[in-house]
Amino acid sequence: MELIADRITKQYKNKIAVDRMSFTLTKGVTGLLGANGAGKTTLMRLLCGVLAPDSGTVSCDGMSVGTEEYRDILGYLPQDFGFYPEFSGKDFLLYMSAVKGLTKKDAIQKTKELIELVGLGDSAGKKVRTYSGGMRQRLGIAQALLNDPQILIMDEPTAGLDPQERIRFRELISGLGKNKIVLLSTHIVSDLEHIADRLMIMKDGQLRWQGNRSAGGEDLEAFYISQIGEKR
Amino acid sequence: MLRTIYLYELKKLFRARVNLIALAGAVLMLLFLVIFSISEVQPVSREAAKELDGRTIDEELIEEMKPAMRFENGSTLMEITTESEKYVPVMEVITSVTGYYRDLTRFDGSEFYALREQELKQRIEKQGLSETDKEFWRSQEAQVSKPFVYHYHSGPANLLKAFQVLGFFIFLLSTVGLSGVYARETADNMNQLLLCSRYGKKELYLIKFAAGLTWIMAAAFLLLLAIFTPYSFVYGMEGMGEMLQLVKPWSMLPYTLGQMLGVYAGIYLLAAVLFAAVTMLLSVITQNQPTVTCGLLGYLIVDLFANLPERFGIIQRIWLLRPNAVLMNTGFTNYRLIHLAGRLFLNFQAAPVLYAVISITALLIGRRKYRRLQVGN
Repeated sequence: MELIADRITKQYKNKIAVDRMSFTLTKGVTGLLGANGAGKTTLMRLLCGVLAPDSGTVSCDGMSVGTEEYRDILGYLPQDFGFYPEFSGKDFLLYMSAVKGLTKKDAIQKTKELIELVGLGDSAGKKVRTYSGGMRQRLGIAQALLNDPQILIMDEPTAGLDPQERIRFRELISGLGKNKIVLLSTHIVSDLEHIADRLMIMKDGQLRWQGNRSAGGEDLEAFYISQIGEKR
Repeated sequence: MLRTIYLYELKKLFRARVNLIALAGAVLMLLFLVIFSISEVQPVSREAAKELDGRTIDEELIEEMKPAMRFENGSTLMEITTESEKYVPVMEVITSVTGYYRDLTRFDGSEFYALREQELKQRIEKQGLSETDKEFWRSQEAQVSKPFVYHYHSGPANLLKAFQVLGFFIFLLSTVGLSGVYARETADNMNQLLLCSRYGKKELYLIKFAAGLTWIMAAAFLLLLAIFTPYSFVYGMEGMGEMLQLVKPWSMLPYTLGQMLGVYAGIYLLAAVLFAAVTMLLSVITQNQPTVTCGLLGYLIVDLFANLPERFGIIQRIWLLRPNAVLMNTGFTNYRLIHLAGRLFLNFQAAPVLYAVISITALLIGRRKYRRLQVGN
């Protein structure tokens, strides 16, 4: 399975958020690094089909982005999003399961599994408005996994998680990366040190570097800084 | 799955705090208005009001009532005693034709119907109706039996008068409750999740629309119940089979009160659908709940106070078909007919069709817009 982005470009008024980016993602975890404003979120939105590129294409094994079949194999965790405060965590997952097209039986089963996986077993019945930031983030991770996606795109997934939750999240992602295309963006280099198989580095809407994680050497942060041309 | 999504969309609408507060507030306000209107009128017992059941409203009855009348400060009043209490409801029917300003103590009762006919002619002339329209109304008026026969009808009469208020409240509820149906997810960035989900791009639009309609229908029935319950408790609902002219003397339609209530209820429910459809369309287009709410409240002010003069022609004719105009009392005195495909239509017939057409158009435009939705930066 290959996710191919071919010269995709997105411009907002005078600013080019994503500038003619081309790459191919295969199974495994790809880390997307870049400072705030580098264009990571726009790129992820383009890959998810919630934002149309001005030019260029995105496809996966012949399926164009935005088609129903593409959406069926996609899981997306946006950087920040609201929940329905009147829903419980369980209700939210059941609702998202229905929107993602899961049958009722599968939805109940998958919701139960994911609630346990992200450690929300005790608070699944509570209203989302009572959740802490970390709990909401875990709920967001759970919804991204509901349809057992082949492509998993996560924008700053570790934001709001405490150190213990971060470790748990890394373990979860390492496991998922074995048979899925996982792209996760962050501006915290240490999040990727142990889980990324590949790296992409963005600056000013352009892809500055892409390659295997091992090419970045032991000190990933130093490598990242050298690539974006900033002093430590 | 689609049913599950529908049920969750309903849950969002029915459990949203602002919707609950708005709905409860509207019901309480209506109850308050009904109770206020009941306490405001002269207290006449139902038994007394029924005493004259079956009497024709004619010279003889008017003469019989005269000893209880007095003309004071330019208006005719009725002294309410145990003896005269029974005349109060009939007095209301008579004064709705003659007006209170006329000295009824000297009024020749035999002129009652001639006075009504003359006034109807003047109104028709003033509206500049064509010969075809005039002929239509003459044929309708010929079917209205005269002299009018009085029967107790306070329940249906009050209910009929309440529809304009109902129309106003359902508009407000639609504005408050449905302006965020498609905009809310944009405001809290939930649309990023929905638009990349299997049913989030196409089916969700229709499901949300259906849920919005269900909510407005539930609200419309609740408001209707809030009016119907106290009126039926205080006045009862006898009189459904009586002539419309006992309440609306300037109408020339040969309908009963019950039939007209049915027509009004239908228009009211279709108006609710229209309000909901337009609100949800604006919600899709603007993706901004406060903008939709403010825009619709601005429209409401125009709706309540703008009176288009006749020189606006077709625009004025369409303006007179808006729910607020049809549901208020002047709906009965707008004699202009709609000429379409060689047939004549009353405003009560044309308005529902217009509401349905606008609602369906709003649904289709909204669907087109929703499919093109993208997440903003």
